[in-house]
Amino acid sequence: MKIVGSIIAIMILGYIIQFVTPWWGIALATMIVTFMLNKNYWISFIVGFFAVFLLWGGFAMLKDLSNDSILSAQVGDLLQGLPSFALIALTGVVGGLVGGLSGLVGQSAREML
Amino acid sequence: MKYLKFSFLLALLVGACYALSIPIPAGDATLPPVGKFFNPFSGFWNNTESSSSKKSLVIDAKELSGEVEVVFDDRDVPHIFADNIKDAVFVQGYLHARDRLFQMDVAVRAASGRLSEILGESTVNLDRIRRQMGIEYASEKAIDAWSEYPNIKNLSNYSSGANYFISQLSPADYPVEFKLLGHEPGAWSNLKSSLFQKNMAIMLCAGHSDIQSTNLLKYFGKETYAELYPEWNPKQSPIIPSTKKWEQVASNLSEAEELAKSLSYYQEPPIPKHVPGIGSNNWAVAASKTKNGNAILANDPHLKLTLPSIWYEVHINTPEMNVYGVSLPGIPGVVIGFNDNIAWGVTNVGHDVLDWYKMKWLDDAQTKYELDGRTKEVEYRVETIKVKGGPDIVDSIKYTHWGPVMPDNSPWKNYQGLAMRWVALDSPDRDELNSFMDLAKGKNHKDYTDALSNYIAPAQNFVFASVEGDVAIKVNGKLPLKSDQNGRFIKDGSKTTNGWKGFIPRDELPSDHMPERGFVSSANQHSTSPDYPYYYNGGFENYRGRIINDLLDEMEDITVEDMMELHQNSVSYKAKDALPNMLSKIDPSSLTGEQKEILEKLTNWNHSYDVESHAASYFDDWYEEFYDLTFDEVSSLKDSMSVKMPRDWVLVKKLEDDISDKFFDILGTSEVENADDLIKLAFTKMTENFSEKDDHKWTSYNKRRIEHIASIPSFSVNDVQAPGHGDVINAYNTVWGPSWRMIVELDKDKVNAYGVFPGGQSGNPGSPFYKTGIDNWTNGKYFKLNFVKAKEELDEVKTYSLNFKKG
Repeated sequence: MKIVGSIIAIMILGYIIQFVTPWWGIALATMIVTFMLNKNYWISFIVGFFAVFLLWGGFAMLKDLSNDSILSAQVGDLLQGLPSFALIALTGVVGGLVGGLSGLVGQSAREML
Repeated sequence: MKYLKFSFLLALLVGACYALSIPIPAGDATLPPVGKFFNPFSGFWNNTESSSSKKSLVIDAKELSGEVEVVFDDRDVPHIFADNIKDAVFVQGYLHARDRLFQMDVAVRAASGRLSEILGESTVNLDRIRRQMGIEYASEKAIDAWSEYPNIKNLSNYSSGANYFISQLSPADYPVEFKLLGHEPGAWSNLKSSLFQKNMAIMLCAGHSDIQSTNLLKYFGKETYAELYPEWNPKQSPIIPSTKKWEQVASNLSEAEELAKSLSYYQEPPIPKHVPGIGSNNWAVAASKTKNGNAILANDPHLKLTLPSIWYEVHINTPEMNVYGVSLPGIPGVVIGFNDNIAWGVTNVGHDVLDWYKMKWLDDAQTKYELDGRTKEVEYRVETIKVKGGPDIVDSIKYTHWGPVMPDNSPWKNYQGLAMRWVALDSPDRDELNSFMDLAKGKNHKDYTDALSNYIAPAQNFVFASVEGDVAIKVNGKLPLKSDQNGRFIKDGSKTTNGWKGFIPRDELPSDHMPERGFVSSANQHSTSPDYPYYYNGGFENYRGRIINDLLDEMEDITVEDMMELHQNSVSYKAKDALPNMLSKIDPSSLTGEQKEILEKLTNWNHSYDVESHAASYFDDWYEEFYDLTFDEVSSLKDSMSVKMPRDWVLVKKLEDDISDKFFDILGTSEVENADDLIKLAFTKMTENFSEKDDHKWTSYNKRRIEHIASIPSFSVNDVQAPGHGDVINAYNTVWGPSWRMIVELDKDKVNAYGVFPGGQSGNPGSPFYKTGIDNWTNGKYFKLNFVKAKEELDEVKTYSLNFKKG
């Protein structure tokens, strides 16, 4: 339960923080939540990864759906012909990796203190 | 250990975030920073738009003096309802920036020579040329001159409107191209509007072939030169017809030949055979020729087709004007359009307004030159080109009596040491910005002529029609007054008498109002017949004007639908003139089965460049082979000097006049060939060019596309299945074509108008309005334009609105 709650917390905090920070604000949000979660490294990574994967991938998907994939088709074409869903997945994975790494940092900060 | 672990992981995270925040070099290109570009909040995903994401807004701006309501229709065309013109142009600036910011930025960078600032080394030569031409210098002078006229206030308000929009943009809102290229939009300015206008001049009136002509005159001698490059086509159907019969016009080339002989051949640049397809059609038929008894005006300016389109539709309603048409993102007002009383359209004037002078230098450093026996010193202007990822380039450009001198490092190698005289560099001597504002307010023919008197460059053939049923046309702009042959060749720059003798007086510019034939038209052909008292040279079209005039002559009871059909007309007079003659030389009994099939298709061809036509591809290829075989005498010179190729009609005429003309002989063969031999040989070559597996249809042979303005391939549209050819009314060829088709029926009670361009209102590839018009345009269809007098009439098509308030 705590894990699911942390994922949701990262998503909410990550969504809010990007109004004031550059794109990497999501790393701060993830670190704060995983710091408080205080499980092991594996869980921190997975929580961070999934939270940001869902947040970034989810928003990309919402925007793509309302846009009828007009833009993603063209940007995908620019990137060796990636289809729209792959572009959404890629967005999620890029965000997820940053999130996972931030999770590790959050956990290690907790252990350090 | 704990500290170490933390430090290591933190370093890893910071490193990853940094790596995702910097551009990635990939061969010649640079990919945008991954984290920045992909994150869904401020990256490219934030550039997705949907028709429902456009919401009504209230916008407060202290620059306004009243309220402005902008109603958007179902194609996202803004209808601006304002209390006065100043507020209206403020909002127009706002909307241009909202929808076309990247396009405005690129156009101005290209004109002023500031591309390298964002693109790096690869565009330095382009920038150099613009600096050496002195474009920005000329714009600075233009702004000074404009400041003398009251209309500058409109321009300033336009710039404020654009800046109002730009200033409230956050990086997340930047157009996607800025995100891809990693740079930021700068503020707009009056100077940038002037630069935008200069960009149009570069596109439309900077043509010149003085070097090539001089080379060829020297090489061939004046008789042969005159034969290959005649100034007057006897079949030409000029814009202002003459009652006089056409006559052969002899040119006096002796003086130019003398100078040419003293010069060495210029090597570069090679000139492609086909001058790019810049052209246009416009015409207007008087009430007496139409079914409804209303004058009808049509216009289709041909330009390089781009995405976003060069045009932006707009409707401006103020107490002084109710005008609808297309505008250019970068300048206020409507360029081609109509109001409740009149309509106007433009085509380009081909007069040569850019000439070159050979300087007589008096010192090795080339700082002093002779002019009328006196010593003159050059003046300098320093140009600094900023280059992304490299040191600045500083050039000192010399200015002479004539204009800028191309320096030793000029990418235009041949022009080094030559001085340029170009009408678009002159400081404006009248309130040129007011032309389009006055046209927008115009009520009749007098208002139209008054408005045109302020227009300078690029010179245009302005067509006109009014609800009174009358039509008119005027070859309008600042056109040099030249002595015979002046400007065709390089001139001796040490004598002021070699310069222009001023400009053709405004009221003696070729014009026509209510001609007996009941219509006026232009298609970039010669402005007049040779009896016009002033000499002019330049590049003029030889086929489209003839077709339009022939067809309009025959038509009666004309309807809007007839005009739409005429826009799509793809019949070639070049093919009509040449093909029967070419076919008569082919003996079917000597052909293979495949060749016979081709011959049959050609024999049955209706001379129309339709999408599915095979014969169109065969004719085009066959003609080109024949052309190349004929003018090998000219093309073989390409290795030793820069040349220009003869016009198509010259070949067609030779074929009609004398099959044994000396140019039909092929260089390097012992036999003496004639036209018949060449046509047979060309036919064989052509049939070999089409292998069985290829698709022979016209649009596969001549591939058509609409390119993104920064050539980003995935933002372009490839393989457009629309008919046309550069020689026909529907002048679509590769990337050139009708950039806006407009038809206006001037009904006193309600002006009816139709229009379409191959693009959309939005410059955002992520918008549903990026390509709105392409399907209709491709299929020869139009949108009925929502031209109304009051905003309530728009209720049915309204999607959302912007309400601008003073505050």
